[in-house]
Amino acid sequence: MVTLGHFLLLSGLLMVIGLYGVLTRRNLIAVLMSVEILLNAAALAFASVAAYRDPQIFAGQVFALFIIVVAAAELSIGFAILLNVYRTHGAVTDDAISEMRG
Amino acid sequence: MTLLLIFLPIVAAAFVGLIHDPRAEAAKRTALGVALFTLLASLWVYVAYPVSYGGFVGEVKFDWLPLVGSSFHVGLDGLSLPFVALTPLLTAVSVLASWRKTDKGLFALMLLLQGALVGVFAALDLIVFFLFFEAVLVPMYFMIALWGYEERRYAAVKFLLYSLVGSVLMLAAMLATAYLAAPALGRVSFDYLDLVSVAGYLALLPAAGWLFWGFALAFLIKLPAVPLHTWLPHAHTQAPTAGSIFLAGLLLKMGGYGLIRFNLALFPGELERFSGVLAAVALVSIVYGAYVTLAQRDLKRLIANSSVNHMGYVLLGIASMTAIGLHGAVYQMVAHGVITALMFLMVGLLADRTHTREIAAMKGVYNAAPKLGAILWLALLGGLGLPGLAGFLGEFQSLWGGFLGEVTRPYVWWAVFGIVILAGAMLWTIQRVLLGKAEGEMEDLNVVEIAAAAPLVFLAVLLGLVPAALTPWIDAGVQPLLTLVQEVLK
Amino acid sequence: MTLAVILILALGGLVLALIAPNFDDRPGALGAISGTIFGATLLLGLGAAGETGTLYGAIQLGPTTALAIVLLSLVGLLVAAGATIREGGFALGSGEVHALVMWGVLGGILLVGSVHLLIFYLGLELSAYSTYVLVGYNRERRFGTEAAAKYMMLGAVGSALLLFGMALVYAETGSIGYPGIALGLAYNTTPLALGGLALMLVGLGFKLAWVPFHAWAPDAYQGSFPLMAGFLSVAPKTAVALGLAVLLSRAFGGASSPVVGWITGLALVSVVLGSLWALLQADLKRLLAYSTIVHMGFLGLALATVSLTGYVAVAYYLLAYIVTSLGLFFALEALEARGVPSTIAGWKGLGRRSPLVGVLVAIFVLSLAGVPLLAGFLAKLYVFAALAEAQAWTALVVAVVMVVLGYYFYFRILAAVFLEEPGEEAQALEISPTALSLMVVLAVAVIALGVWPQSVLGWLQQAVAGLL
Repeated sequence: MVTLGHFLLLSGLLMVIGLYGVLTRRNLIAVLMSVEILLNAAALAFASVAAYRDPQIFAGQVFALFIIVVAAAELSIGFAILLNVYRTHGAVTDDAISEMRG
Repeated sequence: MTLLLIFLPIVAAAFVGLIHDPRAEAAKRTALGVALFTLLASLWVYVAYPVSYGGFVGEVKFDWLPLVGSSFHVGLDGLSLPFVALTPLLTAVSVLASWRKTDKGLFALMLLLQGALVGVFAALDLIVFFLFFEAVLVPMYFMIALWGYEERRYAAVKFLLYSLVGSVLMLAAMLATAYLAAPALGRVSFDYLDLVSVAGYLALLPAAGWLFWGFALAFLIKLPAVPLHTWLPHAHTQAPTAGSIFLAGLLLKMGGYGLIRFNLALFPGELERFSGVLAAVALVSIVYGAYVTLAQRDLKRLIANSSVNHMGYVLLGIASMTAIGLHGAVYQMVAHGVITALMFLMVGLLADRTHTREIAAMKGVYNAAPKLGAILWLALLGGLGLPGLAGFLGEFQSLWGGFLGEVTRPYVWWAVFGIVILAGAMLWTIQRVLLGKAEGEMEDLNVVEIAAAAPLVFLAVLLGLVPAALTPWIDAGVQPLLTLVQEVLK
Repeated sequence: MTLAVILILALGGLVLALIAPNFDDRPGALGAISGTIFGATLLLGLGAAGETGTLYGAIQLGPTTALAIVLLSLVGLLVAAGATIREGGFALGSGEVHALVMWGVLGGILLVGSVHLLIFYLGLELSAYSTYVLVGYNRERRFGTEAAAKYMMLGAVGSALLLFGMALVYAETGSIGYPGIALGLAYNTTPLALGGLALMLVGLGFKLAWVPFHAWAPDAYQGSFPLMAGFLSVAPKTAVALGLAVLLSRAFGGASSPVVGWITGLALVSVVLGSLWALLQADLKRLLAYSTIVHMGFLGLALATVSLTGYVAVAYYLLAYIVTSLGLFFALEALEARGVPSTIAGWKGLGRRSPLVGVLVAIFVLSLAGVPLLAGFLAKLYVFAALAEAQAWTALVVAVVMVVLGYYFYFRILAAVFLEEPGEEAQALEISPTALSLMVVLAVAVIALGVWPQSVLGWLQQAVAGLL
C-alpha cells in the first residue's frame, strides 16, 4: 500500500535534494534548477495530500497547478537576472558574485 | 502656565533654527528674551504658590496615549518649583555667558534644553517624565560635540551612552511598575498620582526591589554617584561654558529630583531597605569626590569633580529618609545649582581669557582682573561650603539628617572628612589661581558678563543668609511625601 | 471598495507598463499618473474599513485589509513621488518601475486580506517578484546584478520552504482555509504540524529579514537604487508583518500557539545580532539594512504578544517605519544623484554643505533611534508596553538595552553629518527640489506622529481590533 506518508517522504527527500543543490552547486543556473526541484517537491506534497486527505475539494491539487505557474514566472525572472549577471560579470558562477561583503 | 514654561522655549528654538541669522544676533536676543520672560513667569508662580497648603499648581492633564494609560500630565509643586525657576535663570546666564558666540544653533539648543528641563521637573506622568528626560540628552550631546573643547566628541558620546543606559533601564522599570500596578488600580496607568496612591501595593510586590533599582540606577548615573560618575569629568570639562552651566546646574539635579519624586514616593520600603547601601555610596562620593578634586590640574575638571562631592550630600540626605535630610538634599541641589553654575561661569570666562584650563598657568587673577577674581573667589568659597553662602545650609542639613537617621549615622562620621578635603582643595585653588602677582594683562568683566554673574551671586548669598526664601517651598513639597512614606511603611 | 482597489491596481499597472515607452522623455507624467492611482486607492482604503464579508470567498473585507490598503498605498504614493527625484528617470524606463510598484502593493494587499493559504502565497509571490525585478533594475553595475541574483535565489528558497510548510500544515489539517487550519491545529499539534508551522515561519522570516534568514538584506540594499531599496524596506515587510498577524490570530491559534515562542526567539536574536552587526557597517545602505533587521525584530516582539497593545504597536510601528525609512532613502537617492557616495565617509560634513538636508536626515535618523518627540520613540514605546503587559520581562530588558546600541550606530551617522568637515573638493550642495519637499513633508509627519498620534492611533486600534 502506498500511503500519504510515502508521498510526503518522497517530497521531503526532493526538498533535501533541492536544498543541497542550492547550497552546493556553483553554477547559478544549476541553483535555479534546484529551486525548481524545491518548488516541485512542495507541489507534489500538496497534490498527494489532496488526493489522500481532501478528496472533495482537491484544494491541494489546485494549489499544485498554481505552483507550477508561479514557478514558471519565478524562473523567467531568475533567468533574466542571471542574464544580467552574465553581462556584467562574464560568468554565472557563485564566486563571480561574491564581491559584496559584510 | 506650565505649558507655556515648557513649550514656549521649544517653539522659540524652532523659530531661531529657521530664521536666517548669520551672526546669531536675533538668536541671542530671542533666547535671552524668552529666558527672561519665562523666568519672570516662573518666579510669579513661585511667589504665588500657597506654601502652607501645598499640592500641585498649574496642573494640566489631557489624554495622550489612552491605550497604554498615559496622559500628558504636568504640574508644579514645592519640590519642583525651585528647579523650574532655576532653569530659565540658568538659561539666561548661559546666553549671556555665550554672548560673543555667533552660532545660532547654540542658542537654539539652549532653548530646547530649557523647555525639556522644565518638562522633566513638571512631569506628573511617568512616560512624560521619561520623554523629557531623554529629550534633554540629544541637545546636550550636540552642544558638547559641536562647541566643546579638544576631546569633545569622546565626552559627548560617553555622556550620551551612560545616560541612555540608565534611561532605558528606567523605562523598563516604569513599564513594569505601571503594568504590575494595574491590578490594584483596575486599569493601566502611568499617572504619577495614581501610582503613588497604590504605593502600598507596590511595596508588597516581589519585584519591588528590581523596580526600585531600575529607577535608582538612572538617577544615580545622573546624580552622579560613584562609581557611575565617570562620564561627568569628561562632559563637564569638554563642554562649552553654557553647556557646563546647564550640566552642573540642572542636569545633575534631575537625578536627585528623580530619586525623591519617584524612588521615595513609589518605593519607600525599598529605599529604607537599601538606605545603607545608598549612604555608603554617598559617603564614597563625598570623600572620593573631594579627594579627586584635590588632585586636579585642570581647573574645569576640578570643579567638575567637586560636583561629585556636592551631590554626595544630596544622596546622603535622601538616604536618611528624615525630614531634615530630605530638606537638606533639595536645598543642596538648589544651592549647588547656583554656586557651581557660578563657578563654571567664572572659570569659563577665565579660560577664554587665558586660553588654558591649567591651574599652573594661572596666577594672580585677582590682581589682574579684580571683578572676575572677586566673584570667582566667592564662588569657590561657596563651593567649599562656607557658612553664609548657600552651600553651607545644604550640606549642613543633609549631614544633620544623615545623623538623625539610624542607618545613615555611621556614614556621617566619615563624611565630614570630605568637607575638610574639599575645603583644602578649594582654598589651595584660590591661593594658586587668584592670589599672588598677576602674570600679565587681563581684561576684566564687561557689563554683559557681570549681568550674567550678578543673579547667581545674589542667590548664593540670599540662600545662605535667608533660607526662608526656599525652605517653605521645599517643605511644602517634601512634607506630603514624607507623610505618604510613613503611611506606606506601616 | 476593496474590489475596486484590486482592479485599479492590477489594471493601472498594466496600463502603465504598456504606455511607458511613450513617456520615456517625461518620467514626471508617469509619476503623476501613478501617484493619482495610489491616492485613489488610499482614499478607497480609508472607506473600505467598514466593509464586511469576503470577496469571492478569497479576500476578507474589513478593517485589517483596509489597513493594509492604506499603508501600502501610502508607500506606493511616496515611491511614485520619489521616482521623480532622479531627474531624467531611470535609464531602463520609469513606467515599468511604477507598474512593478503597483503590483507589489497589490500583492501585499492580497497577502494581508487572504482567507486561505493559496491567496496568501500568490500575494506573497507577487509582492516578492516585483521587488526582485526592482532590485535588479541597477543592471549596469556589478553590485546591482549581484544583489539581484543573491536576493532572488534566497527569496526563492524562502518561498519554497514556506510552501512546503504550508503543505505539511495542509496535510495535518486537511484545509488551506484559515478557519479550517485553526480547527485542525486546535486539537492536535503533532510533529508534522509543528514542522509545517516551523517551515512556514522560516519562509516568512526570510521575507522579514529575521536573523538567521537575513543574509540577503545587506546586499540587496547596497546593490539597488536607493528608491528601490526604500520600497523593498517597507512594502514587503509591511505586508508580511500584517499577514503574519492575520495568520497568527486566525489560523495558528493566537496566543497559545507554539509559533508565538518561536517568533519571540527569532525577534530577540534579530534585535541583538542586528544591532551588533550594524555597529560594524561603514556603508550607509548596508547599515540601513541591518537597521531594518533590528526594527523587524522589535516588530516581531510586539507581534508575538498577540494582544491589542501588541497589534496596535505593530501597526503604528509600520506606519512610523514607512515615513521614516522612505524619508531616509529619498535622501540617499537625492544625494546619490548629486554624486555623494552612500557611505558614512561620503556623508561627512553634510550638515555644513546643506544644513536643511542635514537637519532632515537628523530627524529621520533620530526617529529610527527612538528619540522622544519623534514617531520612532512612540513606536518603540508601544512595543515595550506590549511586552510589559505580557510580562515578558527578559525580552523587555534585552530590547531596551539594545536601544542603546542603536543610538551608538545611528549617532555615528549624525556625527559624520554634523561634526566632520566636508572634503576639500566638496562644497555647497543643492539637491533636487522634489526630494527636498518630499523629505520635509515626511519629516513633519515624523514629528507630528511622535507628538500627536491620537487620531492615527484610534484608527489603527479599530483596524487591528478585528484580529483579536
